Formats: sequence, structure tokens, C-alpha cells
Amino acid sequence: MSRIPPAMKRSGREPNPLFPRDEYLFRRVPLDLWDDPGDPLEVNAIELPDMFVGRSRFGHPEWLRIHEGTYFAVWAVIGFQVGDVPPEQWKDGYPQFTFNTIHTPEELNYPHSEVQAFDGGKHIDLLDALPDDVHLKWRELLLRRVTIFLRPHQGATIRQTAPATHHPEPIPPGEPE
Amino acid sequence: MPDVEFQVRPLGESTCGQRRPGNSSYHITLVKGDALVVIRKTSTGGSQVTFSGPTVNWKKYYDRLRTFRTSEADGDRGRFPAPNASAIVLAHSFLQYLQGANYPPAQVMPSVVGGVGFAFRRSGRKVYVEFNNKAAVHALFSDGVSDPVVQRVRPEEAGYQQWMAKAKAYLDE
Repeated sequence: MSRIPPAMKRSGREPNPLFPRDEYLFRRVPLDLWDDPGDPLEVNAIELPDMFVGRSRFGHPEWLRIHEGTYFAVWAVIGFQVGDVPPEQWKDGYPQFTFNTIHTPEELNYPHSEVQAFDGGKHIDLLDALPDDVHLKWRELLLRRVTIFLRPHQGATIRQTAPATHHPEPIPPGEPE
Repeated sequence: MPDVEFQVRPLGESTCGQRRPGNSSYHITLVKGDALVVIRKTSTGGSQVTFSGPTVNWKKYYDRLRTFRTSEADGDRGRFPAPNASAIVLAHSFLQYLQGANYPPAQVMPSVVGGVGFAFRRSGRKVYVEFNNKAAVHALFSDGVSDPVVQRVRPEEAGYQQWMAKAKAYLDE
């Protein structure tokens, strides 16, 4: 188990609602979905909103391996930019869903955020709202925008200080714990 | 079929590529993949060598499928739902069909939205088949650039046959 970096904790800070379109949103990928670093990341691992993510403005990719005292040392971490969530798939024949990224800090995880989907202002579950073929296509389009920050089993040193900007910096190498 | 590469050269071939007179034996080196090589004695006392194509370890796919419902606890697996019984049963029948056609997937994996996914890839193109927890099956055809196409697959032999014809046309031709 890895110690939670002090800069990762909320420490009384308020949510920050401003998301630049080029800010990265990080997600961890369970080993069940992607285990072999030699395999490409596949659409099976791409989820629909609601998605829990970590903001690059306030956290590093490797922090996604830490969750409430549990350390997912060998899980992959991927990310996409706020402006990359592809809404254009249901312009024809489907409601005009919109997406909103909301900063929802937790006590031990200040960067924690959620990507949520809305239909006419109402928060919805896309998996229920969309036909299967549409959401599969949407996930493929998001997969194309994804950047891989840590492959499965790739070691990383957990940085203790907060990022200087929302542009991710190279991850210090390290051995998986 | 997965790529299989062979190097075949006459036994006794020298480094400059010349063959020893009268030498009719061959050295076969498997560079990539697996293949079944059968060597038979002929009636004239010679040998006949037959390549019967790649051998596929189908057991590893069945074994992997079996683990999907019994793998780690939710906390370790993440928040995604495990494939349910109907998805597993349909995925198993699809795997049997693939085995019968000797058309192995590149990967078999659970899906984050609940279900089982099969990926087939050739030189920049892929076909991804997802059996979801609502007992529906869809195939995604993608080259990573143009608009991806998703088609429904009927989970029965005729449906699999139609799918395979499209997949082969997309990937292999």
C-alpha cells in the first residue's frame, strides 16, 4: 500500500469548476480489462459516463493508482482531454446529450471528478439511455482520443507534490510495489 | 489466421547460400507463431512434409472465459459489472464456432459495461465483437481513422457465419 501524497488530500479546499478543454482526465484500468502490456488498449476498457476521473490540474496520472488507502500498483492509467469526449454520435435520431465534467473532491482525493451525461438538463445513465450499437461506436471514438500514461505493470514513482500546470509531465519511473 | 512466418533453407547450406550437391533435406525454422509440421515417409523411401497451418491453443481461450465470473472481488476488479451467465454462455458458443472455423481471436476479455469482448486484428484494422449482459451481440469494424461501423450479430450459427464472412472480408482481403 502506498502512502497518500499530502498534495492529493483535499485539506479544506473548495471544488474548482473551471476545466480547460485541454486538461486531461485520468482513469485507471483494472487488470481484468487490460493485463498484458503487449496488447493494445481495447474498447472493452472504455466506459460510458458517468465516469470517475482525476484532473491533471490537481493530480498526476500515477495518483489514480491510489484509492482510499488501496494501491492498485500495476493497473494501467489512461487519459483523455476534456474537449475529447465525443458527443457528435447522436445528433441524428437521438436526443442531444451533453456532457459535463464536475469537480467532486473527496477528502483523500482532491483531483476526483466525474464526467456526467445529461439529456435536456437531466442527469442520465448513458448505458440505459443509448442503444447498444450507438454506445459501442461512441466508446470506440473515445478510445481513439485516449492517451496511455501507464501501461499495465509499468512502474512509477508516486510524486508527492501537486502538478504545476494541467499539462501532464513525464512520469518518474519506478518499480511496481 | 494469425501470421506465421517460416524460414526454409536446405540443410547444409553454407553461409554464402550454396547448397551441397545431392542434399535434399530442409531445415525449417519457425520465426513467428505456431504451426503443425507433419513429416511422412513416402513409398519411395523419401519424406513428405506437410504444413497443416497454425495450431491454436483454444484451451487458453476457454480457460480465460471461465475466469471472468470468478476473478477478483469487486474492489479489485473495479466498479464494472462481471459478465452475467447469458453473456458467458453466448460467448462460449461463439468460441466453439470460432474453433470449428479455426479463426482465433487476438484477445478475449470482459467488457467494462458488462459482457465479453472478442478482438480480431490485422494490419491496422480490427473487428471487436461484444456479448453484453442484455444477451445482445454487436460487431464493431474499425480502422482507427474512418467512421466506425457497428452491426448487430444474431447469436446463432447462421448469424456467426454472416459475421465471419464480413469479418474476413474486412480483415483478410
